[in-house]
Amino acid sequence: MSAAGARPARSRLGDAATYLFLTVTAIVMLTPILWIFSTSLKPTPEILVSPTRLLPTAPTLGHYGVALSGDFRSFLVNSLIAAGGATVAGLLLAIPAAFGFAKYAYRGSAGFLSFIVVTRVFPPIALALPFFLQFRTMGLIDTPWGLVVAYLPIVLPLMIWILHGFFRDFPDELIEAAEIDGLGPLATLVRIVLPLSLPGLGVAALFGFLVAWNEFVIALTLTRTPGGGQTLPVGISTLITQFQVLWGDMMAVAAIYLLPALAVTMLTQRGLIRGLMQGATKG
Amino acid sequence: MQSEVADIPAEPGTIPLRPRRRGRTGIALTTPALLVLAAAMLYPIGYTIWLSFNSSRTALSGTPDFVWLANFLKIAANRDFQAALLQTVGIVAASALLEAILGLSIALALHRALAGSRIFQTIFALPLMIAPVVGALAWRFVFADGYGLIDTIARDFGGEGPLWFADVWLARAAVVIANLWLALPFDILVLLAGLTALPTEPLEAARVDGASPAQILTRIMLPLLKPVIAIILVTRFADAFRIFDVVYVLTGSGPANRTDVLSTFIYRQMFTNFDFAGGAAASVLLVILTSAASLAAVLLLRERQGRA
Repeated sequence: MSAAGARPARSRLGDAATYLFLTVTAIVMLTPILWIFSTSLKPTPEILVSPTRLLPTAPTLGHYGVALSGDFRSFLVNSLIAAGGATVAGLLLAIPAAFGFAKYAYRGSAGFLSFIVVTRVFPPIALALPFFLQFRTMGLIDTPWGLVVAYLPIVLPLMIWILHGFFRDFPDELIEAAEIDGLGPLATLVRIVLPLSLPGLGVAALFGFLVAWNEFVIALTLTRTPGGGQTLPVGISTLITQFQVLWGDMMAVAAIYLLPALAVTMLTQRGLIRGLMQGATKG
Repeated sequence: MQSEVADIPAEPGTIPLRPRRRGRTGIALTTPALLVLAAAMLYPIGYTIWLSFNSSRTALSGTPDFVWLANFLKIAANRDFQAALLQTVGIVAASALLEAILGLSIALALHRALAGSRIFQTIFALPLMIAPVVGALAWRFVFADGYGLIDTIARDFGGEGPLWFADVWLARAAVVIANLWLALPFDILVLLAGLTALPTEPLEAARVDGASPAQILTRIMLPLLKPVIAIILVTRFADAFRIFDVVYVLTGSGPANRTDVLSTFIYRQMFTNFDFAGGAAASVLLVILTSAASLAAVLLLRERQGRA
């Protein structure tokens, strides 16, 4: 037998067992997502009928119409403002900071960076009350703009760490060449480093956006009304506890809410793994 | 901002920026972010710690009312807190065990790189960035009585699904399953990345020496994977101890608050019972617990790595 390959020795039985195991687990992983999309496309009378069917017999986009109007649209707009605002503000602060930490180390900078990474273990519930009390006096309760501020402590450390990883690997020679040509650090960053770091910027932006987009505890604490600052997850959680849940509408909202996360995961798997391992680690 | 640097043409062959100037540039670049983090992260955490040593009246009036450890003693004696603490530790432990078994099995199966592995890998990655609220909503729609997927399928076959949210242990299982579903993609992808990066020589040598697959896994692969496992443990501890969304949306802490965890307990203590100081004390304990678990994971795996 010449089973000297890099992989474990193959056997048909082993392969079959592997496929069986992967298929069963994959179906379980996939079911909740499929069920959300399938239910969102079923007309209401079809949702709870027996026998259970995966595919709708008469698919409809009616639930999506509801999901994009009224309160749901407010939730969506608030989520977009909160997550989009936190992403933009986060990038503006994180890009120079990560560049500084990566290429212009100073006494204490390594300590600052480690501390920023360690803040990952702080549970958001520990931030909720101080923000609530502070925002009450500032009139920022129940606004998506307040959430932009409240999301910075979550988004910013993640972005700094992801970008630091990318900037650290950036060749020093290019930066030195730019400096010899008379470019200042900011000009070097904007004209030389950033155009060559677009994948890193993309990963940091997507990650920051999704973390804010998915955030729940802080939004639940700091928002009160759909027209005020309530975001999609808060909207979903309040509607699900009502007596009569309109499952079709609910699942259409969930489907819309899911799309960015699914799209990012499918399109940028490689970058995501790198970002996850960097953003999450070395604590 | 740093335009004066641009005005000085550097002589060829010299280091463009002297160390002191490099340091000043670093400070200028990092200060805005550090100031924002001090205001939006350190101040709130510091306030929570400060409040945990004062009475709840302090939160509204702003005047200090130092009570030493009274809040901590009161919280520690609170039966709901004890239950939530036990519940949280139980969920973390159960999740860690199941994630280790399933995550490693699936990663190893994908690592065999059979035809179609890429498709499977994409499927397993899907829940990676999904909001916990949506994950919980989806699983609620699977487990729920009457309209839930399990119950409707059971009725298709003339039976009846279990009442997941009426039984304490089934409700706990539902929380762990939904949490597992959200966490597994990260475990699988990071383990798979670790497996792919393993050096081939030690594995080859062991195979030539006639080691069994189980021996290769436990004696060679797992020790080599220790840094990767440390990454996963630290990340997952940080996320699992703070679990809130899944419990809030899936079971609403029910039945009868029996699936309450620390974060949901703290939220209720603060915003329903208005015991701000008690909630702050519980928050501080949660921060300590999470940090200790993460630190233990790092130290444990680092030490063993040295010996291996």
